[in-house]
Amino acid sequence: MLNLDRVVDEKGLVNIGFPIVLYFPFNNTIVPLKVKRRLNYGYETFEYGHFPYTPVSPAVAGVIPTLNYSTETVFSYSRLDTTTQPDMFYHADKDTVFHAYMYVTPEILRIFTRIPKGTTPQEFRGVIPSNDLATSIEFGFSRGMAELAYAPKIRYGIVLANETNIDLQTYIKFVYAQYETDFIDDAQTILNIIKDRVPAHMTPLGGTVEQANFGDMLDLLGAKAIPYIPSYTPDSQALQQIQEALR
Amino acid sequence: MHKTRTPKASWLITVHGVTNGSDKTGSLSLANDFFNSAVTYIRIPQGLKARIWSVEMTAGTNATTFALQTCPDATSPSWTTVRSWYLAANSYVEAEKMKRPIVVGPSRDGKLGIQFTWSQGSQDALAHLNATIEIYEP
Repeated sequence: MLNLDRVVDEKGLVNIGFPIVLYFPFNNTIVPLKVKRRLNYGYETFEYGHFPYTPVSPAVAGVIPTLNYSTETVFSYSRLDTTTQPDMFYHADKDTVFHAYMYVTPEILRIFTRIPKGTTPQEFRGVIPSNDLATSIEFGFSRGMAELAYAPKIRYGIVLANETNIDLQTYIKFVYAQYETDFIDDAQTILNIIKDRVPAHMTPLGGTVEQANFGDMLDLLGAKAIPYIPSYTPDSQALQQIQEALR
Repeated sequence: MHKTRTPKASWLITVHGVTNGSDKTGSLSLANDFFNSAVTYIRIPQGLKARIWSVEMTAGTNATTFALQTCPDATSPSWTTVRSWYLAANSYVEAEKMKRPIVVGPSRDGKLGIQFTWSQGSQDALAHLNATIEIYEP
């Protein structure tokens, strides 16, 4: 029996030597990467503070007003240099992925992720979540935690929505790993990953909207986009498709 | 492939309220560090439930009755008392801690509310209530 749990540690971060697979629904491709190094191993906690958003009323930093939602927000960090300060996980570093879990208190807030920023990635049968319905009957959100995989040149936007009658203060904590990655360029290994024969961790990035800078991201990761072949595809046929994508 | 499971939401808080000293009856103004300003009731988000794990109360110089009330639509409230506690003057009551919690919900449309009220023969501002509440995804 394949033990999928050993691919990640108790924090949900991928162990060294195992694959992290970035899935891009807009073109139904994957980018399989091997985690070569975890540069902050053992030091994964980042106590961030309040959500970096100030509403009009009450004009208190970090508050999500009653029956309201934030604008689409990225995580600024003032101690960084001016280029990385506005969005601390956004980067253009070669062979680098920041794999982060964002924990939001209060856990009852709705978390909508926008990948890439400015788009609504989740959809239900062709319908995308609406900001106007962020506190009503709606779909496409999580509560308490969201998984974010910052590949190069990919920007996430986060919206928090508050359904209660309380103007809620917020607190954000990240548990993250900085991976040094290696593109998996062996067709048989990729086939084994797609067919669940080897343990791998998959995280989806975005929805049906094309990622901005998708090509730049591939270049920086030294990667190619591999078609996410249905698991019922015969091995020989799947292998051929993967080999074509690797050329 | 392994994928991360999003945990079920659970927010455990203690709220504090005190009688206002000018009224014999009323709804407690509930405060918590994460509340930007105090509220007299709490709306439970759609699909979620609330557990009241414990309620600790003290009465001042006057006997005080505290009550937990719920309402299916807090925007047009008609409150129902779920549980009440009578405190003699200068007394202390710690309720529910060792028993099963009081469960409210799930909230069908995000309008389900809970509140704590007080009633005193003569008003004083010395009766306190602390409630440990969990709002959670069932």
